[in-house]
Amino acid sequence: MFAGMNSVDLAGMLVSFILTVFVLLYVFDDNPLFRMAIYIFIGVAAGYASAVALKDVILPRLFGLETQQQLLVVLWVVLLLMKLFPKTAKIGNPAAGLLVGVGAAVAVGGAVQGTLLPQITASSDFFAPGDMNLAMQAGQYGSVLEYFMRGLVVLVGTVATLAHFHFGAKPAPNQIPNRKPFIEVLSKIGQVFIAVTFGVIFAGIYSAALSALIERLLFLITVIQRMIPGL
Amino acid sequence: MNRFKFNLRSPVATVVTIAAGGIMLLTYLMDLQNLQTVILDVVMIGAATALVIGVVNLFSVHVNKIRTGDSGAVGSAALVVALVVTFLVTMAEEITTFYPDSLPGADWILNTIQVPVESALMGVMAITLVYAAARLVTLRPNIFSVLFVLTLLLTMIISTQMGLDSGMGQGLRNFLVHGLASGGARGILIGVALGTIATGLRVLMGFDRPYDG
Amino acid sequence: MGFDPNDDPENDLPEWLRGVQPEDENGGFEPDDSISSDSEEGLPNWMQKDEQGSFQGPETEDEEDTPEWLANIRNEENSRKDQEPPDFSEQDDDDNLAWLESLSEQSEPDEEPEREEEPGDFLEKVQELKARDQAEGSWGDEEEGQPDGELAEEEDDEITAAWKRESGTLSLSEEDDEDELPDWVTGLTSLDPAELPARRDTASGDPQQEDEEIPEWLTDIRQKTSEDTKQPEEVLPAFGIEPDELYEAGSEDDEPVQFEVDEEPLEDEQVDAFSEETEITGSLPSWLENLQTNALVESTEDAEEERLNTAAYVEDEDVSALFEGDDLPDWLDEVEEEEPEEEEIEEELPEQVPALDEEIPKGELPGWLQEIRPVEAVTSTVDEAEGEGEEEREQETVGPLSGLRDVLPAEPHIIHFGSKPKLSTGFELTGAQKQYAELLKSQVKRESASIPAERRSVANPQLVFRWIIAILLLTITFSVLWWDRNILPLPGQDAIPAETFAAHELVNQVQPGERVLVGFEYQPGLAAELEAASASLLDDLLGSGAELVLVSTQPVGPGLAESFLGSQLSGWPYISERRYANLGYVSGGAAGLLNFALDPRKAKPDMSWSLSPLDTINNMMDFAMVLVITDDPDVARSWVEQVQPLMDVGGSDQAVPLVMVVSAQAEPLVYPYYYTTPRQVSGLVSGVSGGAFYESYHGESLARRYWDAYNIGLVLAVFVIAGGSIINLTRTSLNRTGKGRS
Repeated sequence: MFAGMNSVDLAGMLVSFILTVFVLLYVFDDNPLFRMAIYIFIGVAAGYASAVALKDVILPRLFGLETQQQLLVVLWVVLLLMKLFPKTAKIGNPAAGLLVGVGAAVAVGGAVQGTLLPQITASSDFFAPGDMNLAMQAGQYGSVLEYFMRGLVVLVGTVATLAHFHFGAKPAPNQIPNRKPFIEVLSKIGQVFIAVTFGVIFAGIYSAALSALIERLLFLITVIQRMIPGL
Repeated sequence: MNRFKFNLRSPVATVVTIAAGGIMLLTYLMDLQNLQTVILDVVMIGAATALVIGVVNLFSVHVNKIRTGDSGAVGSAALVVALVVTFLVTMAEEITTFYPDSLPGADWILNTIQVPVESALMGVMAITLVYAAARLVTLRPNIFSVLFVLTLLLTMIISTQMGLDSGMGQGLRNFLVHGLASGGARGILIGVALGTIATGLRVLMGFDRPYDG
Repeated sequence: MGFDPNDDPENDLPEWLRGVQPEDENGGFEPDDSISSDSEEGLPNWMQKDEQGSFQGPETEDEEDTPEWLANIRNEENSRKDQEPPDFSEQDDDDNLAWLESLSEQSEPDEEPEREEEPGDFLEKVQELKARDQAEGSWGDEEEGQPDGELAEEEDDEITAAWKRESGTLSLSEEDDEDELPDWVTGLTSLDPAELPARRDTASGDPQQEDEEIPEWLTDIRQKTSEDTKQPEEVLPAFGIEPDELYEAGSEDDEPVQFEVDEEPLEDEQVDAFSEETEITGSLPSWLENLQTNALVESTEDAEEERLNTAAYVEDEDVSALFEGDDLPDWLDEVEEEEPEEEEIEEELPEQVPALDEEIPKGELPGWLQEIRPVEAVTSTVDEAEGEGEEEREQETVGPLSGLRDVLPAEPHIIHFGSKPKLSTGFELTGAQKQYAELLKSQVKRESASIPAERRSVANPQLVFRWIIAILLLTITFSVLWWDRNILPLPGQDAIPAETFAAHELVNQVQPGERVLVGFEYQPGLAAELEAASASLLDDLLGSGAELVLVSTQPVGPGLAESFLGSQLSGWPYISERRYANLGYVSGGAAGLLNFALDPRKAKPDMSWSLSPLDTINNMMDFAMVLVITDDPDVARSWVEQVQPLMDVGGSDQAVPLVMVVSAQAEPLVYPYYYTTPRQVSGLVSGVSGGAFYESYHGESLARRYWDAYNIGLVLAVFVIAGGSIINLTRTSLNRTGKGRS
């Protein structure tokens, strides 16, 4: 039935099969088997992550450092551990502050040099001037129109979406602050773009989930076919 | 004026945050790679430690649940056992030399429990997404919901083999995914970048202190 | 509790009763503002200042605001003052001031001059008493040489002396000498509740004085009272109210007379005993008897209302029934007979007490007086009657004698006006205010309370709809996978998207032996999609002879990479022999990624950097290509923001290409990085469809196995979503139409 499989693999296959069925039963309703599978999954994920962090980062980095750096790092780690306990949590604030400060600086620097400047620079290339010029010279006016329209759509979409996230409003006495009419119109256009973008993202999420479902069903079929070879 | 009022509750932590963040920002402008790597070395260890701390906290919470005989004590017990066993197996397999290959290792646990459960959860989500999308227009009958569902349907259609191979599907894909959606996504990305910069600067200037507590 | 000083009976008096009161009754006395005011604030100021009995001096006030009972007190004191020997009234101001200061230690100093300026005030009387005590010498010598004409005062001093002796037996003998006594103790002694009213009784018992001020009918009453009633000083006088004012107050039934009831409820027999006494009213004039009868009838009829009015003060309605009796002597006799204190005093003062008893006029209280007689007098009497034979007596609760039994109260009852003030630390709220407060409290509580998420009861059709979707999707997909016939072909090469084609081209540009960094940045849940999308690309990469260096910022990434390579690409000896390098987990997210990109060797010090394929790696420029397989757009953004700039150091010509294999859900947010000039992401493969495109170029792999079921699942979802939306919309609109018609 399970020819060529050692006991560990066989056990692994059966456990996976059972857990998969438990979870898929949630489609019909919540049940204790599903919850038990989730508890086990969380425990495994947490244990695995902590072990990997310990064996891949903490221990190698700690032993790979010089003594002074080791002391510094140990002190910092001890301070971080203080955050575990409410009474000593404040002592760990500087260590957490270092983590947060470096993270914030890295995020700011990355956003500026990796997203903001390149994407704004790319805005000037929305109309693909080089490609448009080549198409004009070749007399392909349809391609020119396509480049132009596509660039226009992307530009309007970018500006309108940003306008939708613009919450500045001029306060007026005894009135609810309203955005300027121009911004309001742009915001509505931006909403259209956002709805389309989220629709595409939703389709992508479904595609990903469908792939996962297919993989699980394939696994179940494999196990069933092994259990019942004649099928 | 209150906007610029500093709260000196955690002065040391604030100073550390501002100093470390300032140095890191300077490294984008100046060649301070040695200093940068020293700080980042410490941060890497700290981040891993923070992860372990989180797991320890999870462990203690569920151990307390078991002690108190809470309603989910059985599930907590399963979680704790799974956590401990996984941790011990992974560490023993990696660090020690006596762990036999014939026994299930960390990869076995990962592929037998974590991957199947998480994949099955995603599979369940596929069904839930279809159900939610079918109900969306009824629950929120407005133009944006209709637009959302229409885009969803069109995107799924052009993602099929027929949609990908047909010229109309390709044109629709260029217009919908690489045109409209790309414009919206670019706006979202720039907005996210601006938000990240604003939030990061507030932290670096000491107005926000998420580490305080 | 107790007598309500805010009630001003004069304002409610009928005109004829005001005429009964002599015009000069209030003359010479200043009204006590501290008593008559603050009706809305609950407790008067002096009560709020000090619970222990330090009282403030009276303040100037309009005569109209003076409570009548207080005016009577002052009037009587004034009249008695005229009768007192001059040596007692010659108290110098310095002594008064010192005494007052010692008495009211916690009083505000700016009020003291006012006391001095009002010689007619009852406080001065207290001072006089103290001065007299001082003039008489130490308390231990009180029995010696008392003038005959001052029997009332002597009686007070005798009681005080008795109290003193009792205190001495209770180990307080060190205070026997007055010189050793603190001022406040002497002041309290002078303010003994048995003392002041007794003097007033003496004054009011003077027929000449009475005749001048009181109408004849009242004089008759008092004469009868003095003849027939043996009145213990500590009962009636403790309240310090003249019969005149009592009469006036008693005639006002709508004025709730509030008494404190601290004791146990009375037995019915005792109440009946008092009720029987009410019939003895023959000494009253007929009109007054009628009035009294009416009052009694009214009080009987309005018993419920009266109980409500006095609910805050009277805790037991049985006690309120006591005040329906109109004959005092019996219960007064009862007190006299049953109070062991008196007996002890008599034992210790065998010579004087009989004489005092003879001197104290016996009185009979009319019904209107009994209605407002002091509660504590009644209740203490009743309690003593109840506790007859018991050894326990009233326990002192305040002052230096606190905790002792069988002692006279250290705190004068006149200060309490029949009750011990209960100081409220909070606001005095009316019923409506309390109701509003409770309402507000409940609303706030409801707002702050977290509402438990109700388990949404799915309507039956919707539940069935969900089950139909699940069964359809599961069965059809399962059938297609089971069938496994490759129904649909992979997409044609002509239709391949530019970004996918760019990725293919970049992979094919990798030369044998070149290092390729592969980031496995996905979670187990999306492993299926990303493995299907990247399997052919990785196979292509391995075919081009690239040497792989694996890394991940996800803890599960290295494990998933090993699993993926071992299961899908194990056909390659490079994989099965594990010649690739798995750097493992890099912690810290974007910061960790930057750290790794800046100096890979320092970031992973435990790796064998001297061995292939790591031996040639010092920075990111040493890789021929960087491939990132991720399901998270944020992770993709981190790679673009932190790593890609370090791959483009020498200009775009020498830039290391960054290729991404992303989940379909991340594609819209990653594509803008591809659609830039220069490209931040050089090639992009997204989802199963991207993998299928790649496989159409390179060869079938995992995406092919998924392709049929994937397409069927998409089509099925399109039909279900479209059909479900139409059906739901139709049903909703039909329901609305039906509702509109109805």
